[in-house]
Amino acid sequence: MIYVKVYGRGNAGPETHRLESFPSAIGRALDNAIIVNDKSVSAKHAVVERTSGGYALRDLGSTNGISENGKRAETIDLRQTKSVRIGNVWFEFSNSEDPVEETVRVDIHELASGGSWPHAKGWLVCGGLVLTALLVRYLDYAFLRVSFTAHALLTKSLSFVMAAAGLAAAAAVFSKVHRRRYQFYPLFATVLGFSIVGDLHFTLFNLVAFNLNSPLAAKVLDEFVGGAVVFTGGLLLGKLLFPETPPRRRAAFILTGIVAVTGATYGLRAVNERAQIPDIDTTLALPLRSFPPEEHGLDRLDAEIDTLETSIAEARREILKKEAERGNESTR
Amino acid sequence: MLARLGFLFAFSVSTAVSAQAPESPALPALSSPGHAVYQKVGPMVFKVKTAISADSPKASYGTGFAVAAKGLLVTNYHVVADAVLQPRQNKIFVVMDKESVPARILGIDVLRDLALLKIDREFPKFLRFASGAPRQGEPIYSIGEPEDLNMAIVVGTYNGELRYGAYAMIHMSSPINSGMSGGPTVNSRAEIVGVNVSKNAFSDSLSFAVPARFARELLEKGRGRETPGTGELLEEMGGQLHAVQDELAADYLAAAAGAQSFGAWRLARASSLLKCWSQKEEDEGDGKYESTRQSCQLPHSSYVSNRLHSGTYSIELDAIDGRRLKPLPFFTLLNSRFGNDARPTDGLVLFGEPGPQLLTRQFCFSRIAANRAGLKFKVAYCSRGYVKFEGLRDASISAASLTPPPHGLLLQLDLRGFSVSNIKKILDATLNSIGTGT
Repeated sequence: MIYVKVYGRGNAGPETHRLESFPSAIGRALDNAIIVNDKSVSAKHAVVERTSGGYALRDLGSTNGISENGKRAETIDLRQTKSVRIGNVWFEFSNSEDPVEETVRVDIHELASGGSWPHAKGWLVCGGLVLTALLVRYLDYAFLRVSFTAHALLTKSLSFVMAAAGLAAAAAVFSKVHRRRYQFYPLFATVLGFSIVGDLHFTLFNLVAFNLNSPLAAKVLDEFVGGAVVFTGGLLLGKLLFPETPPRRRAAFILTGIVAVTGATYGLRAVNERAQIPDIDTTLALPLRSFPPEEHGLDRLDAEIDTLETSIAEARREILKKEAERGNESTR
Repeated sequence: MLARLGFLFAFSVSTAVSAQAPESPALPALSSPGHAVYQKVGPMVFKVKTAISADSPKASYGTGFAVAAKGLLVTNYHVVADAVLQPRQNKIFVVMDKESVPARILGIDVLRDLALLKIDREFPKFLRFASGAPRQGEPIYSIGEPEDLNMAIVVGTYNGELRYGAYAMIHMSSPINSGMSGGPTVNSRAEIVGVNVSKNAFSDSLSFAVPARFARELLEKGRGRETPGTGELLEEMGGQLHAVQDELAADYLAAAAGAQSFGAWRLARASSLLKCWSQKEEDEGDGKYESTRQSCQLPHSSYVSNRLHSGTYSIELDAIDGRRLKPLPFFTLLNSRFGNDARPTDGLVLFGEPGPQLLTRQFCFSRIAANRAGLKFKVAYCSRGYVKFEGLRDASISAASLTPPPHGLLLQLDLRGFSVSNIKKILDATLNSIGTGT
C-alpha cells in the first residue's frame, strides 16, 4: 500500500490518496487513479508499479517528466519515503500513513536553483529582465543625468546579485518554515520587474515634469501611477509568497498597506507644514512649450504675493488672538 | 569639567586677593592703568538679570552701567529682550550689593541692541561719555561679568568703527565673553567709548561694541520720560525695524540700477554694504559643466530674539555653463540645484518651539514669470510674517532661469524683516535686471 500526498498550487493543504491496486496512473486525464489538474502535468504522466522489493514510479513519456532532487528520472524507487516532482506539482510517496518529519518534501537546493520554472526558462527570463533593467538605467543616464558612469551600472548589477542571493535565502527559509515550495525564478523576476518599472517611472516623471510644467500631472503620475505599480507588484508578490491566502484578502491587505503608507506620508507633510516647512513645487520646466510672456509678467508674481499676504495676515491675527486669550487667563 | 571649575575658582580667588592689593600704597597707580580704570569704573557697573521675581534664579543676565544720577543705566537690548517679548514671565533686576533692584525700560534702540533702564535709586557717581573716538591702536577697557563669575576688566585695542548703513560697530581686539554684554568699554580716562555687545565666535579676541553716541542719543531721548508700556516699546522697535529695512531697500535698489556681469549673465550690481565671496568650479560632473557661485550678505542684523534676527539680507547666485550637456541633463542639473536651495531656511521643528511665537508659519507659492527682457524664470517664494511687528516679513525667494541651454542662472534671495512693498520692489528689480550677454 502506498500513501500519496499531492501538494497542489494554491491548496490549503496536501490532498492525501491511498493506492491499493497497482499499477496506478497519475495524470491530468479523468481515468487516472490520481487526477492532477495542472497544466504542467500530462494526461497520462506517470505510473506507480509494484517491483520486486516494493514500489516504483515510472515516467510514461510525459512532457515535463518526473524528478527527484531536481534531477529528471525515468523511474524513481519508492521503497523509502520520497518527495517527487511531477511536472510542477509536488508529491510525497510513503509506505506509512504518517511520514516522519525529516522527509520534508521540499528540497532546498532545488528551490534556490530551480523552483518550478525550469532552469532554461528561469535563466532566460531573469537574464533578459536584468539586461532590460540595465538598459533602462543606461537610458536614464544617457538622456537625463548629467554624467554617465560605469560605476552606476555596476552598482545596479551588484544590487541584482544581492537581491537574488537574498531572495534565494528567503525562499529557502520560507520553504522550510511553511513546508511549502517557494519559487525562486518568479520571485526574482518580480523584483526585476519592480526595478524596471521604478526606473521608468522616475524617468517618465522627470520628462513630464519638465515638459508639461504641470505640477498636477506630475503629482498624478507620482501618486497614482506609483500607487498602481506598487499595487500590481504587491499582488504578484503576494500570490507567490502567500498562495494559500484568498486573493481578495491579499488584495485588501496590500491596498490597506498602500493607503496606510500614503496616509502616513501626508500626515508627516502636514506636521512639517505646521512646523513652517510647506511644500513648494521646485520642478523646473523645459522650455519646449512656449509661454506667452504677457501671462507671466512680474506683476503676476506681485499678485501671488498679495494672495499670500492675506494668509499671513490671517495667521498673524490668529496668533495674536490666542496670545490675548492666554494673557486673560493668566491675569484672572 | 571639575578641572575647569577648579581653575575658575582659583581664578576668582586670585582676583579677590588682588582686589585688596591696591589698598597698599606700594604700587603707584600710573604703572597699572587697567587697575586705575577699574577702580573708577567698577562701582558704576552692575549685573543686570531677568527673572520671574527678585529671589528667583535668573533667566538671562548681562551687565549694565550707570549713565545718569537719577537711576538710569544703559545695557544691551538682548540682555533684557525676554522682558520685552514675554513681560509676564520676565522682570528686570539690577543687582546692587547682592540685592536685586527692580528696573524698568525707558527706551530701546533695537538696531544697535541698546536699552535704557531706570531703577528707583540715585547713583552717587555715573559714567561720562567720551567726546570723541579713540585713535586706532589705543588701549580700551571693557568691563562686565563674564560667565556669571565676578566683575572683570579686559584690556583691548580700538580698531576703528565699521559701518553698514544704519548699522555701526566698534571693532575691538579684546577677549570679552558672554555675560559682559551691556557693560561699558571705556578709554584710559574712564570715559564711555562704547557698549560691549558681541564677539566673533569663530575667531579669537575679535569683539564688537556699540559706539557710545547711540547710547547717548538713547539717554537724551529717554531722560525724564514716563515709563512706557510693553506695547509702546514694541511699537517703537517696529518703527526702527521699518526704518532700517527702508534704508536697506533703498540702498539695494540704488545699487541694482547699475549692472554687473556674472558668468554669461548681466544682472543687478550688489550693494557695497554686502560682504561677498565667489568661487568658480570648472569641472563639475566629469568636466561637463562649469559653475560660478557668488554669495553676498549684510554682515549685520538687528537682534530681536535669539531666534529672530531682522533687518538683514543675503543673496546667492550660481551661474551654470553647461556647454557639454544635452538639454535634458542640463535641466535635470538645474532642477536638482533649484530644489536644494528653495527650501525655507528654518529647520524642522516637530514639537513646537519654546518661547514666544514671533513669526507666523511659512506660506509659499511657486510660479513661472518672465521679466521685461522676456527671460523666463521659475520662482519659488516663501514668506512669514512678524507677529509683534506689523507689516514686516521674512521672505525666501529662489529663482531659476528657464532659458535654453547652455547657460543657467540660479538665484537665492533671503530678506529678513522687510515690508511687502520693499520685497516686491527688490524682487522685481532683481529679476528685471537679469539679461544675457556681458
